[in-house]
Amino acid sequence: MTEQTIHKVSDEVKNKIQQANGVEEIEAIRVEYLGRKGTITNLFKTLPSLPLTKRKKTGELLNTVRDELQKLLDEKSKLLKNKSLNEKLKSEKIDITLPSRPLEYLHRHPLMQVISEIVSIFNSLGFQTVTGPEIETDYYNFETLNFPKDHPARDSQDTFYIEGSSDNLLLRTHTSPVQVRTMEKYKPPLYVVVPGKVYRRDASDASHSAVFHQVEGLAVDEKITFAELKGILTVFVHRMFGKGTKTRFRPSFFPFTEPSAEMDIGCPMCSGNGCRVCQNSGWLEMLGCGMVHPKVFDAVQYDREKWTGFAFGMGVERFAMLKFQINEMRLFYENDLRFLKQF
Amino acid sequence: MKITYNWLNELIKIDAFSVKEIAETLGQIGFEVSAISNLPGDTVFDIEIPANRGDCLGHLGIARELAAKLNLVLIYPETYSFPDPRSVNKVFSIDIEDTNLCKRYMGVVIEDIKVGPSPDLIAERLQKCGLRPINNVVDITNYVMLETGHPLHAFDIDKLSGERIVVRNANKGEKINALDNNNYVLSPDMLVIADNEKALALAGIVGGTESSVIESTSRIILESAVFKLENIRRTRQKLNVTTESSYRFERGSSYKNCDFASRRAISLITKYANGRFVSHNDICLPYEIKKIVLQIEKVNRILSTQYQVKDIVDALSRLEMKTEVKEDKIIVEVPPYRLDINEEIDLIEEVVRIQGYDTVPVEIKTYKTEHIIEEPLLELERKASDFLLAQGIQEVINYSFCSNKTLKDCKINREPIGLQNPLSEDWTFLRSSMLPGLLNNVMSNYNNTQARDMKFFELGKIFSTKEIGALGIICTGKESPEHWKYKSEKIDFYYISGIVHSLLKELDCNKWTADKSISEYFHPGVSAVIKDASSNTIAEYGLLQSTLHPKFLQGIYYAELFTENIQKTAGNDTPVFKEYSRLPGSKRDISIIVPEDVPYNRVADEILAGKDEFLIDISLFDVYLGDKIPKGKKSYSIRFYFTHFTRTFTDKEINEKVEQIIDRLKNLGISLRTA
Repeated sequence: MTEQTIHKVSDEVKNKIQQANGVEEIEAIRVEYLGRKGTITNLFKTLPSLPLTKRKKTGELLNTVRDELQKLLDEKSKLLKNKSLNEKLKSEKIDITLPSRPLEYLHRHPLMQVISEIVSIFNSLGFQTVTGPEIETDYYNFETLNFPKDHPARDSQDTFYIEGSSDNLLLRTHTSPVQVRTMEKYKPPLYVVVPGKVYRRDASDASHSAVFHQVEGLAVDEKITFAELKGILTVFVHRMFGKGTKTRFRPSFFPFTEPSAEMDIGCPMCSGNGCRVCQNSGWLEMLGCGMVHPKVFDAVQYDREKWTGFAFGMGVERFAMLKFQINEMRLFYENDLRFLKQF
Repeated sequence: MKITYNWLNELIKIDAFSVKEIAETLGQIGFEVSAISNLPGDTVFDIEIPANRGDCLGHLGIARELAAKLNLVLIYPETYSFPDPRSVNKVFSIDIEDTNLCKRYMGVVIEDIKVGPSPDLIAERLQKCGLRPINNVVDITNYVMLETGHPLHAFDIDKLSGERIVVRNANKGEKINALDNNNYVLSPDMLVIADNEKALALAGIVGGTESSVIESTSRIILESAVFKLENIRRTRQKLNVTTESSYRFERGSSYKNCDFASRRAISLITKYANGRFVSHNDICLPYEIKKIVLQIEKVNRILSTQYQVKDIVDALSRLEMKTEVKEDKIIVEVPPYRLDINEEIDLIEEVVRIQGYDTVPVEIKTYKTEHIIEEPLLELERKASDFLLAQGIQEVINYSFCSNKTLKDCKINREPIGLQNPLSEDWTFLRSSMLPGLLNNVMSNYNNTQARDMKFFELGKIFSTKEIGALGIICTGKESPEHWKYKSEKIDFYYISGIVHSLLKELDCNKWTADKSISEYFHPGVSAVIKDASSNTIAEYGLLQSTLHPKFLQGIYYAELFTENIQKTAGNDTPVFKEYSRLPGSKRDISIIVPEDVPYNRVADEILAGKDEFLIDISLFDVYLGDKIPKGKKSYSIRFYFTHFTRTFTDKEINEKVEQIIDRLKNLGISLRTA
């Protein structure tokens, strides 16, 4: 065995490695030359027959060549493996734009979404949620709220009466009876917010509904002021419609508040420049409010000299129509899926 | 109410203000202008008058408010001054029988009248305000009403029986032929103006045709009166009539305006109808002048303003109130026409209304209630809706009304609550079930879009002898939307029962027993009712009878849950950790042959009756009915899970355990199914 032979074998292997196209070929080369009966392995076996002087040098050369080939084989094998993996990945393709599996997690009815938005704003300001019955007595719905019998103030609250109750039982026309019920149950200070369904004997049209929803608020404490009422409603409006929303308070009449006010907000649709929604006035009527009338305190036996309070009430449908830009109130109650699925 | 700019301008000089400014000012003092109509040479405001401001139902009232806000001088129109009564020799006789319903009655006799058309100014103004001119005398009474807000009436004296007016209660069944072309049948709680024989007018509401002023009239008696507002309202509601007059009287009339309007009309009738004042008779009951004490400190305390005494006095004086400052108080004399001002707080509102709501600062504070107010139903409803939405069930909100027919069609036996004054035939009852609304939602969506796969729920109140919290769920068609890869199952009984059972579990309501439902709207074999320990119904669910939806040929499943009963039963169960075996445990599957009429729950109960602590769970994974097993039998395949805490079971041990169970099941006529 000469060095020349070793070099020749080495070149032969290198050439084969270079030309190899598959991992199997590389493994075959490995077996052919470096395996138990491989060409290189066999060359090692002939070492002992060499003269001592040549043996060491030839041995070293063989080792170097074997290591080098081993390394080349490993490298090529890795290269080929990567190549085939890449080809495999390349070939395995799906259409990722096909519709995904429909796991439905729906949202609440739009009116409920708006109610919970309003209520949670007031909850965060320290008002606790309370509710009350939808069938009410004349006493809670009107009398204690300073709506005398046979007074035209009742005209604005066209009422459904329960059959056979001699005008005593009715469907509440507003959430305000819950004010009285809550005050009867708890002593001040009191801060509550009341969501609920209310009824008025109005024919339904684009902006009226015989059934609708209100959220009512009531605060009673020592030294509650009209300025605080303006404050809390301004904060509310900013959270609901954005920080820059303007507010305006105008005198109004509700039997159970005095002074009473109507709050307008700068139209969020046109930023107060005038549009179809605000009928070019730049303002939208949002809610009614006022300071709790002392007669209401009398009715619940609160000391009218000690306590003052404010109350406010808003129509949920109106807020929802504004928020979602809906122009027809009846849609909320038609429950057409083409409508409901949008929210 | 319609108010014209020119007319206002006669009472207060508002030339310096634009129409827009006047409208805005009115809004600032609580009179919302809902429409503005521009007419040739004039503008008409449509103004919303609050129900407590009867004094503002005329031009003078609105002018007075504007004058106060804009600090202008109010120019009162020309009126007649009555001569000293001693100089009048013949007085028309007036009697008020019911002094509770009529507090003042002024009767003025005017003669030598020439009835004819009104002068243009009067006729035009009436038309601008929506009234039809008739003749000068009638028009003047209407004109004065539009000006002062106080309604008047004129009777033709020559049509009266006897020279006497009596204000009395109507006789039972008494009839009147009214100017609105209606014949009214009256009752004794109603007030009429009568002569010796008959009712001439329905007091404060409408006059009669017989005594009305027509072309031939030459002598009239001009009525100006104060009637009890509640009675006017009750009467006009009973007779279902509303007139310009009743609208004003039911919002209140005052002694002062009564007199002013009368003298104003005399002046105009003299001027435009050739009238000659003959006499007047005035029956007026004693009245008090309202005085209210206003604590100065209270104004700023409630409003959080910084008004000076002079600001308060100024605002009140501008509203024609007389004020007298006494140390820390102001004694305020309220003008008689301000029926809305009765106590201190009313005066505070007047002050801030005139000073402007924008003089009140905006103060932001945070609040804290000391009470713990619990609303468990709200929390339950929130949890329930979260759960249902996560199942892809859509929330709906229906009207709370239904008709008797709908209830019958839906076979709902629950006694409904009726409405005394329903809006329509379809809405005569309050719903006593969620079913009619939800079924209608399915039908209308099907009709509108041919939708067949629908799942809806509604949370709210139903009504049957009382108000009941309820949750209705309806579903039909496929469980989930169509998909190109995942095939959806058809909704069946086990879907709706799964929803109900899982929901109850979610709501911590675990103590209940199930039975067959007896509700008629359900298929008797495919429905169930769940009750608590005291037999209160928690839920009912099942397949609706197909007769409920004859045009929709597909099974509809419905569930109704009673939220208050759930809430009563629900324990607030915080889970308590139980140690579990860290070892893998063993599974064993067996198939058994079961008599067809033995329900699964009896089989499961019997398996678990052994109380084997190592049997931690069983699950039914196959149900078979068919040729491969004997007739009248069914096959269940059940998987048993056994676990030991410290070691694994041998096959032999498991076999013994299963054999014991099968042994017990023999009591139910069950045997092992051999392959």
